[in-house]
Amino acid sequence: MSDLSAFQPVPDALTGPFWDGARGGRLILARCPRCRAWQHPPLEMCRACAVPLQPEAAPLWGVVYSGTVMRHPAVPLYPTPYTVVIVEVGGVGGPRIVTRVVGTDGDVAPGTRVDIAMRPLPGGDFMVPVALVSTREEVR
Amino acid sequence: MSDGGQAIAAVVGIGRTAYTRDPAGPRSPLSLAAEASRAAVADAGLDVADIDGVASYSMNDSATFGQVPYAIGAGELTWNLDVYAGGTGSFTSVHAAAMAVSSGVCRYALVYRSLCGRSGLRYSQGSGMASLLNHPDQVFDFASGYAVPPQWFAMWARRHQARYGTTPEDLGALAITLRAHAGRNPHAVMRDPLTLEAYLGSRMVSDPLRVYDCSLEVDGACALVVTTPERARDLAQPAVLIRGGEFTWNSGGSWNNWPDFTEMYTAKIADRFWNRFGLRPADVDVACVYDCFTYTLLVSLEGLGFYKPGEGGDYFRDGRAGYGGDVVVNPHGGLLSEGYIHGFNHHYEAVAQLRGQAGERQVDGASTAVVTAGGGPYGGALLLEAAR
Ligand SMILES: [Zn+2]
Repeated sequence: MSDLSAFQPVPDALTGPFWDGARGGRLILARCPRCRAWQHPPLEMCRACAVPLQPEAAPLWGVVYSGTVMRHPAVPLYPTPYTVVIVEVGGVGGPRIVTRVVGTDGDVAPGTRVDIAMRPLPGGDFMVPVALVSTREEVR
Repeated sequence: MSDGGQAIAAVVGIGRTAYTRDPAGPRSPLSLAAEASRAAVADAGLDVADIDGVASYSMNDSATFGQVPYAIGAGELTWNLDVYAGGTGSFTSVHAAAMAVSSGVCRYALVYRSLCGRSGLRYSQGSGMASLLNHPDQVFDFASGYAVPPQWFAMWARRHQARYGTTPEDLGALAITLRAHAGRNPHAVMRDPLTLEAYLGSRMVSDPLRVYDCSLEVDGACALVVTTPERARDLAQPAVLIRGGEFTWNSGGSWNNWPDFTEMYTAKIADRFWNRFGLRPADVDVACVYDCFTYTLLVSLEGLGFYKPGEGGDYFRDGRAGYGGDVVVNPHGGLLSEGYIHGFNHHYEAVAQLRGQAGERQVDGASTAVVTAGGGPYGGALLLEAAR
């Protein structure tokens, strides 16, 4: 088993707000104060406006863009199988984040609505967003 | 056959090592690169001293453009290039060499790729991942256990499945066809026929990709010598012309933000590519298309217009990608069955086919080949032609 300490992020000025927010149960993404575009992974400046991006709390729900079930243990953080999805935060077309799914290790179809919560990242004291499969209907 | 326009360069020499999975005492990437490079120079009927340009590419295991010419005893270089890239580098390095000889900054360019993909850094085992962990584009992905290419391409394939109803049998048809091609290729690592039952029964890596959807990690190296079409006439082998290439890069940062996972780089270059040469997919005899995973191949051919979206499974099942079909796709077996030399072996195969030197797997009358490199948002395609 690999030493999980090697899999802990090293927050910097750009990624720090995300990790700090996660510890507080919030999903903090970079957003342009002028055109309101989200930018994840974050950049210093808005790609369109070239003004500094600001950390902002994003909605704690989204729609699955795609997903896969990990069966080969390439990353030692989580026991296989586990499901990972790309979620469009706040609805179709929203900023995309990658999350592990809690509640199933089976397929989660594109279009599924999920809630986002924070869970511990194994091996340290970070929290990381996960997707909770919601009971609400699918969004197309 | 194309419009007969000008070529920008020619491939005059090809060389390679054995591709191995269980090397008895692994060799260094430098030793492999030197062997393949010497073979390519000798194949061209040149002397190592003629080489005055060198290019390669890598993201992990490699032998650098500084080491290799030194190791083979080359003299002074007037041009070199080391591309930091994944599969796209297989296009970029050869295309750059073609432009270098075309513009006269060097005369004979050696281009190679060497890696110990099996005994060295193995993506499938997560080797070398720690160095990428805090890469700004990937740091958040790692924390969700999403970090290596089979996982990415599985994620992309699932979207295609949702949109077009792509089945496991569809992906399997690609793996089976390429394995059948490899059966006639003594250089291929996996040559035993693959049945649909064996494919479906193989270990799942990341749904929907099974182990037979993934390229074969091997140790090996492959090299080309590129020069001008004029110089090519006086050399040892039938020249293979590089008519030109088209490339796309329209995505920085994370792949996760690529708008549509059901298409890749080929969808962006297809019109430019075919219009430039006055060709359609049906005009091509051999297609060496980058196949790090079956899904990459499925959607890359789709983007080039070989079939309509969602029809790839039928195209392969009906034999249209094989001998006697519309076009022979990866007659060497591709990265899936010959071995993963990071796409560079696709150039080797196209050249061997266009020379008529592909032995038992020779495509009858092969005169035009497309070679692509890349996956996801970026990549390129070259058009190669037999000189007449
Ligand atoms: Zn802006």
